[in-house]
Amino acid sequence: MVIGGLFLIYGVILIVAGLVGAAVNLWTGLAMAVFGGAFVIWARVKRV
Amino acid sequence: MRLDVNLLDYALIAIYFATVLGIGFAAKRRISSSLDFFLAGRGLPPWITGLAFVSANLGAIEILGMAANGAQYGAMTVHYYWIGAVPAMVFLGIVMMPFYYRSKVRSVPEFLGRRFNGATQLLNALSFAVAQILIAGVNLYALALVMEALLGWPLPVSVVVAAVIVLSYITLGGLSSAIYNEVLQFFVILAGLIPLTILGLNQVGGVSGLFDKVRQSALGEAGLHTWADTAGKNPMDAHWLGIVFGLGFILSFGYWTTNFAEVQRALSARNTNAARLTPIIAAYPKLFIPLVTVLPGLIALVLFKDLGKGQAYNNAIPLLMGSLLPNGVLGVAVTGLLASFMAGMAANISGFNTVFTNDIWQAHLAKDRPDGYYLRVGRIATVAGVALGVGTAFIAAGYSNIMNYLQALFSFFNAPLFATFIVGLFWKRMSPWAGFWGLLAGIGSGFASYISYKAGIIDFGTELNASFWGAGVAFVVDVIVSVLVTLVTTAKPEEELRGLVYGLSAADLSDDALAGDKKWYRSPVILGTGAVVIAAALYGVIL
Repeated sequence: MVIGGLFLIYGVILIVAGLVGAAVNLWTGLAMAVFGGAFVIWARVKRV
Repeated sequence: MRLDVNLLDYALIAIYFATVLGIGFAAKRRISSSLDFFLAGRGLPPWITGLAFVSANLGAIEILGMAANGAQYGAMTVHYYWIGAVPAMVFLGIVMMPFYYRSKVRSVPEFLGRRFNGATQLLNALSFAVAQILIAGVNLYALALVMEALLGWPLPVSVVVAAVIVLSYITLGGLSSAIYNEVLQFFVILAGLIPLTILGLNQVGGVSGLFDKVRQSALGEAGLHTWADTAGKNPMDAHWLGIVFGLGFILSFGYWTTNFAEVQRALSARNTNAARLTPIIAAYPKLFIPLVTVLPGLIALVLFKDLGKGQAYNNAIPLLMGSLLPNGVLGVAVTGLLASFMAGMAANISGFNTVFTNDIWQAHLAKDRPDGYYLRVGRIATVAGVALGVGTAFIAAGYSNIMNYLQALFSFFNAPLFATFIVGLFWKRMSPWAGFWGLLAGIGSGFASYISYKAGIIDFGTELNASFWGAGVAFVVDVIVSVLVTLVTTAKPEEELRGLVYGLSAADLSDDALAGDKKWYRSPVILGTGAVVIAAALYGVIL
């Protein structure tokens, strides 16, 4: 499914955004990384 | 006003653009017929089409405009969501979608063509195509203004960059590319707006701090109410009758139930149940979007004293971004803003290319060609649509509040269309020519009412009231003309109306339900009722 691939890419963007966190950035980045990661896992599980 | 963006922010923007184009290329491999291109092959699950449905309406004009309205009119702005969108979205899903989806039409004008005649189809297709180009132009112009103010990009550069990106992913992947990108955009937009709102709330001392400061602002206590004083003086100068019938009924039902740029998302769903769920699933995020648009508008009002005086209300969100967000999150927010511009424009362009190819070219100019021919026409129409959008980008320049301009447009095109639909769906006697003349008279009278307001002949008070009234006049004239014309022309035989009119079901249609569609959480009626109940409850919170 295309959705899986789409959210994999999307998750990566969010994790990159999360890693660059400085001071105020950090919590936003973390939230985004968790969210993106959850989506990737969900898409993977669904595909099997 | 200039934002301090650095390399990190630009990197985030660049990664986003690359992903968007990547989705375009990925979707291209799956395009083998015109149905794939225009309706994503009718195979998408409801949560995808539902999110795309919200996202298609979550253009940057909407975001900046609603924040502007939030700063100017206060809490009353939520009427655009809770009464001006949610009930109509639920009605579309429960009542109208079965007709659209089961008749297997590719577009709203095609449905009109089947129910009435080719002339009605062409009239609606032309007015829709013109409206989409105008709106795409407004969108591009607004994007260019914001990018120039925030990043210092010259106006033509941002117009061309945004146009080329939207153009390439739609030309490549058609509607599925547009839809997947809209889902992505939805999340990116939220990722930009949520931190902005939270930081903003911190800055003003939380919700109670915000309320205190709004009471001391230019809006005063009235800025915190939605229905109080709607029989007398209020920030919008709108009477509650105008809000309920003008905004809540005619404008909103007209927009949400007949606007093909929206309905197209639902038509691409995998079966009737998924199509009906599309606008209903979309209603839930829609309920809470004011939290990241109207609320920041109020925050901007108390943080920036010159808003509405030296600063245009439309600058509410950009001002907040500049003063609250550090590099990094700032890049995400700018990306979200760019994404929302592209979401809005992609919806207009993908609606335009479908209607142009299907209802203008195929239905009236070049019938019965091979499928590949129409696929090619669709791609060319996309290029032409974007080019025209760039060309008309400057029409928007004369208007201070972009939202009013859009509302004015909708009142001319959608209100009479909704009248024709409602009469045509529930009254099988309504004749083909009644469809045409009713629609024409409705559009004409809407224009006439708006122009006489602009020329100073009739005084509606505010621009907003003028669009409420314009829509109302267009609706009533459409109904009257439709009834009169029906009385003197012949109706269509019942056999041709099967599946298109309430009470005449198409007997030969098989049930396309999937396993699990019977579960309560996939029931359009239960979920739809839930959305309306929550909307009413939210009004209870801020009356």
